[in-house]
Amino acid sequence: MGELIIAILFLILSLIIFLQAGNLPDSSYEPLGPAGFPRIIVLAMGILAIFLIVKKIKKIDFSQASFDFKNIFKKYKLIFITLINFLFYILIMRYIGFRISTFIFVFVTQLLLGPRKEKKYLVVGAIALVISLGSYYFFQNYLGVIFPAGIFFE
Amino acid sequence: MIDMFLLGFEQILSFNLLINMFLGVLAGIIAGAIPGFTITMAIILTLPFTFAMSPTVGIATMLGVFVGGLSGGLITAALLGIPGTPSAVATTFDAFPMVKNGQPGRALGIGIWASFFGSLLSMVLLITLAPQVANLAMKIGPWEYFSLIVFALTIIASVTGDSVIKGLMAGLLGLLIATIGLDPMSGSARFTFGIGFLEAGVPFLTVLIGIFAVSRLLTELENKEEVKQGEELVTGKIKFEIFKSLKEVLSQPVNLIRSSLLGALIGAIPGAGASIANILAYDQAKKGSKHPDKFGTGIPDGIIASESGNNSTAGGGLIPMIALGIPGSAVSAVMLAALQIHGINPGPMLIINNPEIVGTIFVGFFIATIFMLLIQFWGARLFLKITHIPKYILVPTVMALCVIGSYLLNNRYSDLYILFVMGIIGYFLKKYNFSLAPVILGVILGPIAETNLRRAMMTSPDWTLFFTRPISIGFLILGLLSIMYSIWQSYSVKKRSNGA
Repeated sequence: MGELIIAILFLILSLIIFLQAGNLPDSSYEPLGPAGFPRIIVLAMGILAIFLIVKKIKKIDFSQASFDFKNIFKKYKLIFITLINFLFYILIMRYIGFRISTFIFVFVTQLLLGPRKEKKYLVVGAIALVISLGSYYFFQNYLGVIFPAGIFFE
Repeated sequence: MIDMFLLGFEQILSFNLLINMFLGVLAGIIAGAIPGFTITMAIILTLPFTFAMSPTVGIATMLGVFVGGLSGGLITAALLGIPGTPSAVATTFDAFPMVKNGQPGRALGIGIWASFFGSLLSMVLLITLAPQVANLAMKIGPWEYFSLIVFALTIIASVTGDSVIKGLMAGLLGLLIATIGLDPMSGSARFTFGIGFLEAGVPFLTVLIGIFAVSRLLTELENKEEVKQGEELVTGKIKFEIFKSLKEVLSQPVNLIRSSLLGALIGAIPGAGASIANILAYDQAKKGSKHPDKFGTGIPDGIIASESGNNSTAGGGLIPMIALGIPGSAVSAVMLAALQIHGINPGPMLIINNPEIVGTIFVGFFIATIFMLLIQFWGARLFLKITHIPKYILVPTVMALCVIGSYLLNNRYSDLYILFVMGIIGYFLKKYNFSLAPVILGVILGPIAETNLRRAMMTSPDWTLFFTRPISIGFLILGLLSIMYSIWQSYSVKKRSNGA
């Protein structure tokens, strides 16, 4: 079922790109302009996607298909949690800086993913500290990389 | 020839040089193991350190970083299923399952020996074939390049798990991702949909980390109960048998030699490098094998092919550099820069004017390989401890490292958004059995393919040239055969399992 959805998404992508490529200007001095190669790609992609759709639709038993979102959510809870944390991490980094946001991300995610009962706050905290501060100072001082400092420190 | 070796040995056997080279190999291994760090970046970082050194020491150190880095990717590829460098992508295919099967020591052992022999074999090739191979590589024009890439992309069809169609679709997706951004030839913005930062394009390293690393990490979280209970990455006892893995590697001489030859050849072609070589070597091993269906389940053949293939690109990559003074890859370009800074001009006259440099490269290569062997085996026990870390600690930590790795590349904040999106895409592709390696191959090769296609068309609108030039049609035929063979192979495997 999932494969079918992905194949359909591929097909939609091919159509969008093909149409978008039409907006690109033609080049007078080269026969294959900026639109040529992408169009070749999505043409092949679209054909393969149709192939795949046809192949999979024959095998689908639509009566079995269920969109039980509640169960899906429960089963993949950890992945959702991690993804949301990850998104937050990336978004807030520019505001509160690399060190703090990395620390929060590593600390909180470890706790949320870890065992329910005996939370090892000390170990988790130490690891988060080492990763956030350690990598910051190592890369910044030895390799000259400048991480986002956040509005507090600028 | 012998005098060059003697000169090389004379230079090498200085404590200063050996220590620096040792540190170089160590740094290279660590850099290679960190996903996103890349060997190229490690070599670039070594450059300023070499200013203070004499040219021979500087080159030897860089060689050390290079050789170390190529084998460093093996560590994370095997233990975490994340390729530490693009050259270790194919290593994950069999090393990680082997580790998951409870044999991490065996996986690392085989990988290390395969890297060692790949390195050695390419060194032999470097010394014997330098002039000839460089000549061949220079005959390649845009038609040949394009056809070579078509060939490489058709390899995708066989590297995939179960479906040729899905593999090709994944590869095409990679090609498409690579077109996002400003078109290098005409300057028009493609497929940016108004998002400003996309005009700079999608950096392939970010795609690699997102699609491979982030998706792999997310996959580790699928079993909620196990993670909550503090499951480790690999359960079971870890045995580490150096000589047993040596025997295993040596028991597959055909695989070893073929993969190394392939790697050396690909390394010699400017532009193509270890990132492609390891996948091609793996593919050829699978095609030449009596049990292709076992590839991907954790058999030594896959590890041997990939690791010897990628390490042998080192020797191969040095061939155009020494013979013609033309860098075959970013790594050799940095080495060239290092030589030039010291007032040495690489080129066809290098062998005549500075035999001690060439001798140092030859001998240094060999010593670096030995160092790599020693450090890997000595450090392996330490690396193996990684497998005892519970997933709930490992996943967020490595994810943070992925963020660092992607940010390091361009110091660009928007790369992190791309990382996030690629992680999700990678996860879903993985979940529904679309293999991920073709996407990476597409992103790497896409721009080269397109540039050469358009360049070829600009030189002459006669598209039949792709089929009349001998090397070009050769590659295209190989590509076609590759697809047909892999389709036939999967049919015969299915028939065998149905009949059994």
